[in-house]
Amino acid sequence: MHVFPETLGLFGDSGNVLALRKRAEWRGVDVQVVPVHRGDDIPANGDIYIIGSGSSSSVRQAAAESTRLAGALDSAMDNRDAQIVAIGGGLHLLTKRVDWNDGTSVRGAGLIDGVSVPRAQRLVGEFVGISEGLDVAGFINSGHDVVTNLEPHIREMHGLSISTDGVVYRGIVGTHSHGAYLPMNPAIADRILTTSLGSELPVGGERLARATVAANESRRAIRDRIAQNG
Amino acid sequence: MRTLVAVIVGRMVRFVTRLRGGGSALPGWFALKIHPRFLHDVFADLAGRDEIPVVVVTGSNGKSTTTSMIVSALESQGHTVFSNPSGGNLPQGVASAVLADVSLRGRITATAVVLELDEAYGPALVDIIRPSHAVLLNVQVDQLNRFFEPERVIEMVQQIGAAAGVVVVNDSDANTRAIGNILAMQGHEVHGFAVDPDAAPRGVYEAHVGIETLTEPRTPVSVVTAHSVRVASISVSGVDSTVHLPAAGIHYAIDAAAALGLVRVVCGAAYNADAAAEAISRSEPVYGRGESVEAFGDDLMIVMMKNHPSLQMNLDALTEAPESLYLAVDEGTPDPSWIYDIDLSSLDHVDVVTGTKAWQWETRLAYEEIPVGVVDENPQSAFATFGEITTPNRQNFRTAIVNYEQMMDLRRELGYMEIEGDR
Repeated sequence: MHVFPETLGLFGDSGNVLALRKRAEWRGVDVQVVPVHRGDDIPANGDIYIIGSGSSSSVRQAAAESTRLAGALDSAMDNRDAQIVAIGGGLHLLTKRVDWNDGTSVRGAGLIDGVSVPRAQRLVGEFVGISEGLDVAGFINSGHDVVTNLEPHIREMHGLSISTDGVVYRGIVGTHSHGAYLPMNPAIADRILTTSLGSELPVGGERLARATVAANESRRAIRDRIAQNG
Repeated sequence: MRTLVAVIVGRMVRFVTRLRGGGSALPGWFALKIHPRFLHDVFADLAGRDEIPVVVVTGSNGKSTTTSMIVSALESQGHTVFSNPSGGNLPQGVASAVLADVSLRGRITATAVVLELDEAYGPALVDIIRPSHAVLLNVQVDQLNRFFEPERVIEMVQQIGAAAGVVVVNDSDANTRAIGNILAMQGHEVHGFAVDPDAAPRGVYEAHVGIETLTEPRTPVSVVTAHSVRVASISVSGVDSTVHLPAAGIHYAIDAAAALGLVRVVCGAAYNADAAAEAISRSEPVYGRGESVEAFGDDLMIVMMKNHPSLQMNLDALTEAPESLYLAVDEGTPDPSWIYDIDLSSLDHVDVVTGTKAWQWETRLAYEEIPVGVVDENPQSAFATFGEITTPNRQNFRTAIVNYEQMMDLRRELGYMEIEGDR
């Protein structure tokens, strides 16, 4: 389920859908991608929900659907062990409330026990880190943070002024790693697919191997740059 | 006196930097150090001369091309035009350009001024420049590492427009259309230019931030009514002209409509449509934007990947998949995540991928199952490889898709020594 692709899809978020779909299909697993537009019924029978990033006005628009979104996602997680990948604005939308510097705020879906607040200083740049034993890398461009006591998705971060990022709770994997996070972090994508299938993933062929090698090299290049810049 | 010293020292620095073949912003930097109000004085003098239009051009994409077209079109109407060359749109760049054109007393001798303005620096610069006319091209998703959100760009573009009495806006872009409506309500004289939806079946790729306007649409002063590759039909105040574009793509047709619309507004009834269309048709591609250079004894067409809308429009304009394709992107594009939003169906393979972000492109192409010949992060060896493993055959040219920094490096490598800003 690709949630609000037009509203929350500012910078390459479609890449996360592409990575999950291709990595499943290359192993012979059929995938159906269902775009859920704003105003549509939000189906509660999805296995994986992807909610992308967006600008302030996009998050405000999407927040009008918070209540319906909360109902559908809560039910999908309870009844189907559904997983939710939430990036940037999509992650903020799942918290209880999103605040802005001008004193305004909107109500979020409340699936994450926390609130989204403006950062003192915007975070912009590449990072590397560890997520449950897997090395991850990406680019964060975020003016908001989530205040919560829940477990972070990424730890031991280098490259930016933060040491942890995101949220892991129930089936939710949330991060500020910009737009195309899963293509460059295939181990995270595969972990989500494995959980969804409930079994080991079938072996893939050359196309899968090519994408994995390219992604690993992309992360290696980011790691080298961060090491070089001290 | 300070103006005199600033002009003389600035010109000396200009002379030295040009001997060394670099540093187009440095003379302006020196002039502003000596006389911080150098630009204020030059433009205050201009503002006192009502007959001289001072035009600023801004927006996410198309600034350099449109500025160059406006200059050509105004010249065709008998104007002597002062302009900042493409890329010189920061304060030092504008000051450098001014140095080349003013009298020792700091007086611009031209009969019209056309300046390209960076969106971010523009709001501060218009206080100095005091434009009479502003052209607002578009607000597209661009350089979010720098601008953070399209909303901020909308504010900046609106501030630039608000500084001018007469504003010409892109009515096909929801953002600039809305800015035009607001400025009209505030008493500005607002004109629109537009593209017929039939001529742009894939739209104009404006940033979607949910702006909706209820105002009755304006009758645009200029409209792109038809477009095919490098030819466009543009109707200006009801008179149709055929324009040959400097490179292929609907975005160049829209730039031409912006330029002709502005020139029509500036010249009024004296506007000579044939001369203006002919002048634009003769204009060359602006530095690296769809231009052809020579490499390995054949033509190399340079396609810029600046951001999602500009690359997509350049790819949309390809009539067939490039036969020999080089792809280079480096840290000038800190976060190329947006390449996942690009429809790559116009490519069937890539020969060489290079630059520090080479593997991120290779990842994107792998997920799209587009074959790639060689991935090499070092542009120098990669470009040599590109020459060795490709031979123009079906197409008599090679193609390079590069970001701005790689375009600059490539031109230098190929012996195109003039720096951006000297043409």
